[in-house]
This record gives sequence, structure tokens and C-alpha cells, in this order.
Amino acid sequence: MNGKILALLPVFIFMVSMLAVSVILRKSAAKKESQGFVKEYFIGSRSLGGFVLAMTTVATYSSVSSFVGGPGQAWSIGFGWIYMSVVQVTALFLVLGVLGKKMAIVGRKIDAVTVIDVIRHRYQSDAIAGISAVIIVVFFSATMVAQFVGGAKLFEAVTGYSYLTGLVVFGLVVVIYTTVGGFRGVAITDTLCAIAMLAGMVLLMAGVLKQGGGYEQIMTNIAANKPEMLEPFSGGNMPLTLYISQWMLVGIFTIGLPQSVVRSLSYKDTKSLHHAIILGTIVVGAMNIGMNFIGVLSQGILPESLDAYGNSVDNIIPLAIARSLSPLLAGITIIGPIAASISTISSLLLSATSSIIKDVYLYEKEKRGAAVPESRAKTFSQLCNLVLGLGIFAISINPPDVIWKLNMFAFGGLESAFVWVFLMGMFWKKANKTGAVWSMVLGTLVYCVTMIFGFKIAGIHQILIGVIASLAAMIAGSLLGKKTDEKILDIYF
Amino acid sequence: MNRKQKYGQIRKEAIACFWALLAVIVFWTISGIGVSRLNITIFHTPLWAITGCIGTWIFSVVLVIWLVKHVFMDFSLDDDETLEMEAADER
Repeated sequence: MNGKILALLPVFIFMVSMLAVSVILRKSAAKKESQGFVKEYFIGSRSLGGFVLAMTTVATYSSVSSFVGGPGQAWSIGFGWIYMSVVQVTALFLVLGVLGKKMAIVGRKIDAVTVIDVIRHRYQSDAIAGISAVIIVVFFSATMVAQFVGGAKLFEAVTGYSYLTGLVVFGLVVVIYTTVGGFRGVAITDTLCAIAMLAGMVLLMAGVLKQGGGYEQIMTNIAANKPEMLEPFSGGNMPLTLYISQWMLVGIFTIGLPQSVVRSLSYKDTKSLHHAIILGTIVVGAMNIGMNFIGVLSQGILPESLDAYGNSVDNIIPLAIARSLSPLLAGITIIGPIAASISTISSLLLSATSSIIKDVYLYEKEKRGAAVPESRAKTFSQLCNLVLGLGIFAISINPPDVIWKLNMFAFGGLESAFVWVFLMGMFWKKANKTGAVWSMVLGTLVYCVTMIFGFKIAGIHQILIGVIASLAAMIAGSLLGKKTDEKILDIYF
Repeated sequence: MNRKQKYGQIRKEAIACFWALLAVIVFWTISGIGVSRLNITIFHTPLWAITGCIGTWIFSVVLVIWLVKHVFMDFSLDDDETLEMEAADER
């Protein structure tokens, strides 16, 4: 029992400090809410510096699967998996380098708080704003459930406490601290989470190396027993098509993920952006190489076949933690993956709330000329965040199958829906309302349908079909539809 | 810089990012799959894993630093034209 308490304590202390940080930030922010509550709550009054911008973007992007499922695959596939994961170093300079400044300038000019504000204004369409809001809320919610479940399962496996205890310890707290802290709270806690992830990674690597008898011995064993792990194609387990698929899915098209793009509205100046691109690229590379390398090295302590470990690669990292570290160190280490999970949840939860409150509720009220007093906007925002968070928490206790399907569809679905709407909207004058609506609807539909039926072109992941369909729809719709008003275009070009 | 000039600069930066992406893809392919053909192992580690993973990472960081120093430019994100017009009015 003692050991279990020692394993639980670090996570508990970490979560309490996250909560404390959010409360303190909220109090200090409340004093200087000169720009208004909504802007402060949803994008931190455009004040993020380079370090925090880099860390919050990386932390949102690194989910529990970067710490559990991914390294588990690396344990099975070998160095090919690390080689595949390193393609994510392109994510930061793509999203911040291509869209970062344009979104920031336009966002200031039209006073945008959410990415949907920008989309609505650029395309002059309430329909596309509505569709965006639905897609964001549905896919984000499914992703959040997966993060809750992943974190709680890991917690259960490492500490020995029940799944539900884990869910309560970090799940309830993340909902509360996101509700209290708003965007600024999310950004700062994300930064602490990113640091915790790196620390957990270093600890675990040291533990695995020691327990496995040192690097030389682990590698000699791999070379003798599983030599295919040392080849890029892993004896056929890691085909070229999988590399191409991953390049698109977790590399290039992450440029369209709304949860990353919204960060372009939140930073202070171009210096911060430049700083964040460099720092973020360094951290994303270190995390992906480091964590997946740990997966490979876990062969040293978990040398048998997958059957011996419950037939799921998701069990590898929890077992590696439990077998290589003392309860206290194990407890400190799992802060890393739990931090990865909560930092993704906090950003998605707040973005989903902003879609409901800012893009639907406040917008509809404004359109009807009904002023919403600041105090009501504040209460509604926090209430909505709390209710949505608790709802997702409740679903996570026993998630239905449909949530898993939605989660599998979420990443590529969001990319197919948004990538051209953002890119072409910012860089192609002819992109218009018709093109955007077609692109978003068709891209998402085609992607989901081909995923359901398992239809692929040349063995490459359905993201390829999704982005081609949404690109074709954007071009066709824009050429056939009505031209956007020159006055609007003047703001963007 | 007025807004149009900023947008011109942003376009330049976006295109540079596209070329940087291509450069990373080429580097990644040669340093990983390419080098694996050599069958060299150092420190019990296949050389391709070091050049393909750590090499690609370092290459990207260096590339991004170069981009920021030589292509990217600092400018105000607020609309200078409006600010300038206001300043002119005051004068």
C-alpha cells in the first residue's frame, strides 16, 4: 500500500500545483482585463511570449499517444518508428511559419478571438462558421475522451489504483483548472506540462538503460534476436506507404489543425513567433526521438513477444515504467504522459468552449442586436467549459465504441476539413464562400467514408484522399461561386 | 512597412517554409533510407538511425534558425497604416 501511495503522490501534487497556477493567473488577469473578458479568457489578450508559445503548441500537439502508444510501437518495430516520428519536426515551422503572421495581423484587424471568427469573416459565411463549430466540437470531444482514457489506463497500470481514481485525480482537475484559468492558464500549465514531459522522459530513459544492463547489452540482444528492428523497413513491418502516410498525417497537414492555428492569434509579436519556431522545433524533435528511443530500449527489459504483455503495445510503456523504476520515481515519471494528456485536453476543451460561446452564442446575440453584459459572458463561458468538460469526463468512465471511431477519424478529419480553408483563404484571392463550404463538407465526408470502408489509394492512408477531395472542392467551388467582396479581400491581400 | 509590404514579406516567408519542407523531406530520405544501404553500424547503432533521426532533427533546427535569421523579418502586427494616418492627423 505504501508503494502505491508513493506512486500516487507526485501526480497528486502536480495536479494541485496546476490548479494553484490557474487560480493565481486568473486572479492577476482579472485585474487587467482591459481588453475584455472574452479576449482574455479565450486567447490571453494576445500576449504570449516565444517560450510559452512554443511550449503550449508542442504540448497541445503531443498527446498521450506520443508517450504510450507511439513508443509501444517503437518497441515492436524498432528504429523505423523513431525515423517515422521525426517527421514531426516540420510541424512547428509549417503552422507558425506559414500561417502565424498572416493570422495574427488579420486577427488584430478584425478583432478575432477564435479561428472561426477569421473563417467567418474571410468567407463572409455563417454557414461555414456553423459547420466549423460542429466539426470542432465533435472531433475535439472524441479526442478528449481518448486522452482521458489513455491517461487513466496508464495511471491504473503504474500506480495500482483503479481507473476511476486516476480519472478523478487528473481528469476532474484538468476540467476545473481549464475553467478557472482560461487560455492564459492553459498556456502556462501547458508549458509546465511540456517541462514535466521532458523530465519524465529523461528519468525513464535512465531507468530503462540501467535495468536493461546498459546500452551495449540491449543493442547486442536486439541485433541477435530481432535484427529487423535495426532496418528502416523493419522486415516489412514498416512499409514505405506507412512512411508516406505518416508524413502527411502527422507532418505536413498538421498545418490545418485548428487547435494549433488558434495559437497564431495569441502571441505578442514577431520576435516571439520566431523564437517559438526555433524552440518548438528543438523540443518536438527531442520528445519524439527520446520517447520512441525509450520504446526501442524497452526491448532490454521486455524481450518476449507481445502475447506475454497482454497483446497490446499500449502496455509496453506502463510495464517499462513499473519494472525499471522505484514506486516514487515511477510516480514522478508518469507525470510526463499524464501531462501530455492533460495539456491536450485543456486546449481542446477551451477551443470547443470558444466555438460554442463565442462563435455561436455571442455571435447570434450580437446579430440580433442583443448586448450580452460582460458578467454574463463570463459566467456562460466558464459554465459551458465546466459542463462540457464534466460531460466528457462522464463519457470517459465507460466510453461507447462510437467514440473510438470518432477519435480515429478526428486527426485526419480536422486536417481534411480545415487545411485548405486556412491555407487558400490566406494565400489565394479567389478562394470564396462556395469553395470553402464545399471543401470543408466534402473533405470531411470523403475522408470519413473512405475510413469507414477502408478504401485506400496505393496503400496510402485515407488522409491523401481527404486532402485531395477538399482541395478539388475548394478550387471548383471558388471558380464557380460568387467572388468575395473586394473590401473584405483588401484586408487579406 | 505598410500592410501590403508586410503581406509580400509573409508570402515570401510562406514560400521559404515550403522549400524548407522539401529540403527536410530530401534530407530525411537520403540520411535514413539512403544511408541504410551502406550497412554501417557504430556504437552498436545502425548509422542510418543516427543520421536519419538525430541528423534530420539537427538539420531541421539549423534550417529553421537560418530561415528566421535570413528570410523572416520583424514587423509590427498592428495595422501601421491606421496608426500612421492617426499620427499624420495629429500633426
